[in-house]
Amino acid sequence: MSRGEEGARRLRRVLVINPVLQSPWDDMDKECLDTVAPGGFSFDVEGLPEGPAAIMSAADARLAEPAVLSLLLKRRWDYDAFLINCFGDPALRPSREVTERPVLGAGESGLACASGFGRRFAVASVSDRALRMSVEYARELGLHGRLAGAFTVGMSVPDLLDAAPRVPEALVGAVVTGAREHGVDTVLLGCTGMASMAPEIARRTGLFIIEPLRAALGLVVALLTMGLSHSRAGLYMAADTSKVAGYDLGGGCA
Amino acid sequence: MKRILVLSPVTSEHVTEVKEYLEEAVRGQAKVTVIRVTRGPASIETFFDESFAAPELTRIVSEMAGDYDAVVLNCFVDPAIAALRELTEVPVAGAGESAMILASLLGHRFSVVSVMRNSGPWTEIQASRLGLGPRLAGAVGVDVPVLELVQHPEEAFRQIAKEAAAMVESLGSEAVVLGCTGMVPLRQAIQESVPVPVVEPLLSAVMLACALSTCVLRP
Repeated sequence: MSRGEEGARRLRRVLVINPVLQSPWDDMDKECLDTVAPGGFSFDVEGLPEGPAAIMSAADARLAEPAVLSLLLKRRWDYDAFLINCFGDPALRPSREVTERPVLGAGESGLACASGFGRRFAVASVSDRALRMSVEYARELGLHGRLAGAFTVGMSVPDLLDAAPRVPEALVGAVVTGAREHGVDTVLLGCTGMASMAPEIARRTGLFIIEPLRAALGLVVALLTMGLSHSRAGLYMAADTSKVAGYDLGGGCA
Repeated sequence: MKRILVLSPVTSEHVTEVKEYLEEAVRGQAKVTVIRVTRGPASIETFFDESFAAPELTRIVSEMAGDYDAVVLNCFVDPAIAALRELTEVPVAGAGESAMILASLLGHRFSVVSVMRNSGPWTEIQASRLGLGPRLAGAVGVDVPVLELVQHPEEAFRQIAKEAAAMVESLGSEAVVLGCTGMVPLRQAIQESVPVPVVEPLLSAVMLACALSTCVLRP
């Protein structure tokens, strides 16, 4: 229709930014993405040269933001779209101020897909702080209509990294209990560290499990296919990157 | 490749055109099957129409959904979607919900331009069900029956484009959602008339259906 043949056939490249220190997760995530990516789309995964080891609170998320934005600025002409691979969506809004290409976060994407799936759902979080942030974020986005609540899984992000892809029985138990307590049959995983575990969590809990990294993949494919990106008309006006001193930002305005 | 069943809840649908449009748009990503009901309303403009679309929709979904990775409802009001979701574990994506969810990724607030006097209020109900009420800048119908829109798109286009541009100007909406799947052929022209992204609901639902079949892990 609106795209020429050439546009429709061109390979679309997406950069997935892991907003934590580079780690073995980068390769695991790439494997997961390569398995589910549709034809015509390729995904690269990059972690940060400096930043927090894990994100489990608002303070952790803020610590990651300058390095996420630096990396995005360095890569902004090399990719058609960007994903921020963390349920906390660190730097999602400022990212949209420095590129016109689509930027999606796993948190917003997971909540969007859970809303579009339509069943009442609960979020499985990795800490009390993350739990509170998730519920507030869902309300802020207006994606809380089907949200029944949130619960913690009793494992921290480092615990999950140690265990993955193996799924500990305690995690299965926590998800089943959390879902029952909220009266739901659907759980949105509140940490992308569980991405490789998700299919087995679904099998062993008997629940619908919504995995946010895959949600972000699906939605970025949607936006690229439809030729859509965030508007420049209001909330996401261009940021003046030259105003910031003391950080390596690669120069140039959005 | 994802197998997507696109279900038109009206007897008047041109399934061949819909199939060709979607196959071109999602080539390499999904295999699309398009069917329509053979009994029920010619178009859906009222709750009454929706009530008479529901029996065939529930029958088709009960019988066919299990053979697909996801089902798409090709109608902005997402007719009977709650009932359909009770009848299958396969994700059911509605055009109205899907378009508004995608629009919410694109800016602070979006507006919806639709067909009838009741479209504004009805769209507000749909948005509030999701939680998106505060993200909806406004929803308005241009008072053109769906069948007239489909038969005389050029005339309807003028009214729709005018209303879309007016809402962007007066409400500051950062995206425009076409509030009727009958408007799909007008998307490109309307995009050229407004300075913000224009979201087409049928492809929105197909793409969200693909995303759901990837990210919803079933037991």
